[in-house]
Amino acid sequence: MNRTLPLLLLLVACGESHSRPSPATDSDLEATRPRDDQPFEAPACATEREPECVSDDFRLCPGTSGYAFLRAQTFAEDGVTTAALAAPEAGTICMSGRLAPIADNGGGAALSLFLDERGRANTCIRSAFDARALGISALELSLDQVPDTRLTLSAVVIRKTECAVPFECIEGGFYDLLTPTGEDLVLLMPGVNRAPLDEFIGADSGEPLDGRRLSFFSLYLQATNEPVDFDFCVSQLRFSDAADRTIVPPAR
Amino acid sequence: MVMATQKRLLFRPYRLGLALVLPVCCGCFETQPVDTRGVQVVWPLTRTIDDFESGNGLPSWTLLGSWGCNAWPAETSAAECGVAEPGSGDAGVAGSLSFDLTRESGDDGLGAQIYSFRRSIPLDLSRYHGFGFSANLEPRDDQLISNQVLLRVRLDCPAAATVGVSPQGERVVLTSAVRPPADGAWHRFELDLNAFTQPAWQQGRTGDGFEWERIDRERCLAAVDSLGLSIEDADLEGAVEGAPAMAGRLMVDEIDLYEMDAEQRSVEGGLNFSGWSCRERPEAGGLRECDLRRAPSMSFTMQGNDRGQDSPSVVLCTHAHRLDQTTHEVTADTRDLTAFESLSFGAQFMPDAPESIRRFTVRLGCRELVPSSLPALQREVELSAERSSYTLPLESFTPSPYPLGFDNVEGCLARMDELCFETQVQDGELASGTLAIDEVVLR
Repeated sequence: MNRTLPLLLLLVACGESHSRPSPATDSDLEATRPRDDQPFEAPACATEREPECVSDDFRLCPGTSGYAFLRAQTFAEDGVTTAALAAPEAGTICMSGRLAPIADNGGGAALSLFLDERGRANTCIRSAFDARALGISALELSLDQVPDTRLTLSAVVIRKTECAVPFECIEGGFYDLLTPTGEDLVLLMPGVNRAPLDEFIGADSGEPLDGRRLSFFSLYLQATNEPVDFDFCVSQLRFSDAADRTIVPPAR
Repeated sequence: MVMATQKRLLFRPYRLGLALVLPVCCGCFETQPVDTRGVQVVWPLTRTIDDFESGNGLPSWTLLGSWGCNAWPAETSAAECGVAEPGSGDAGVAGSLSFDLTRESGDDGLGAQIYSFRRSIPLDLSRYHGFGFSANLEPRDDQLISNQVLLRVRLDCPAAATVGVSPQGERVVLTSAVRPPADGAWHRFELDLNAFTQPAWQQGRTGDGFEWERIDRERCLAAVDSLGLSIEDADLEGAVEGAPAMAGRLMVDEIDLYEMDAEQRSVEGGLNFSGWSCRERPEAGGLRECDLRRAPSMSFTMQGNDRGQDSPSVVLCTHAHRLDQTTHEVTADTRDLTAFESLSFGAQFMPDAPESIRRFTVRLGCRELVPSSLPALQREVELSAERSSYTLPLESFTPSPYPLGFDNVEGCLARMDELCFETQVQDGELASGTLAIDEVVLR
């Protein structure tokens, strides 16, 4: 009996999840990957001088968040969704656009806050963000409003420093902010949202975030049955230590 | 946030009667643990997978991604999914899967499914014992006949297997199935998660030599990647000859997981009830949270209407039910309370607004007596922010004002089918807070 086809289709249809493992591939890669709790070692390509904040692949910047180390990126998954960045004032990053509905293969969009340094093609990670070395234990950000869908927060760690394609550098490196019970994703709300780093849990590993090899934080919007127009701003970004003292990372 | 709405509850104008002045509990509560001597009412904790009330295609359980669907054979079949009205209990909305399936050759199976992949970490279902859902199967034309279809629940868990995925990309699953009547009516089913097994087609060796691995149920339930509900022709089970085609619509609603915690499990001789659920009327977003994962509680913010309109209310209920071990169908049942003298429970109301106490109506429903009017015995009680135990003599309960003239106290006690805590705001009133209920005991 042919029971395979429907499940094959089901696998193809799963494009929404950014973190789903491919078991055979994942285990092969695991042996060569640095562990997330190992210090970052700069790859050979790190010595290349490349302009920062320029990319053919990503719509990066504008780099006016108020943090010299921070860049922002919009990411629309489905080729139909639109997303644009704006920086109306120092310390504020805004994203607006439209999410395609699920029926039109809508996958989602993300506002990513980059902390690492990478080369032009995003296939060489020149340095990671070591939150642990800086004594950072939490991220705070404020939202003026939230879109009419779920808005969640993920931390992404570097899994490979040199990659054939950009996603390969972070494949399997997604950590989602979960509720303290670990049973639900935290849904971001208007106002101040505090995200303790140890409450980010590896979507594949199930382990808490170590924080030594951070690439970026990502605010992710999920597509719904209906098109979703969104326009929200992130401000008051702040790292803090265990005593809730503000930590400002050094400018790069 | 977990929002479990109870669409099986029907609301009728009996609510208007709450405005009537009824005896308020005085001198019948104490800030002590509930004396559990007597017969304890026991219920499972509930994790709502989806009640579809958001209407946006995203399951209530945030670890799951959006619902999708497919059909097979793909070349000759089609499926379309979304939401449809009304949901179970003829209220709200439900998940919808329309299908039009045609067999390609004699060996092909027919089927369509609605599914959701994990959005983040794998789902750990290991502590749950039951998988509940409501289903409504509408045939189109005469192509879909009861008993020729299976409604199968699939739990996909590649991490539980060494190989995990067959060469054709099919993933190891645990399944269990029911035979839903194709009658266009809502039916409630509950499956025992410990009875889920690998399906017959994942046993032995495939045509191209792949040998399916036997997976451990506990490992699978601890790391579920996706779940799906499929409608399939029943010939897979060898029961009947496969139909050449099937077409219709499957609606699913109130997909829940049930767990008996250690405390509830330890109660011997308890009176079993369903998991609790919350409901708001009219539905206006005032019911903020219904957390049934640990203890029944509901948080709400309601604003009273202008004079002359039906006042908003929220209600927290548990029901008497019966599970047919053969069909797995859950049906309404009754409990006989005539041998008992009192109802005790622990309760607190934590107000958000500056109100020290709030008045709730405790209702013992007996819908079987007058199904269209939802009769009940009821009495009022004032709950405060301090958790207290309350003991209400059953003789202090009075017949509900609706249906008009209802006075069958003995009959209602003999056929009690739901226990509810309800509050209603008056004209212009603002009410906001959280009601929590624990230990319920009959003596």
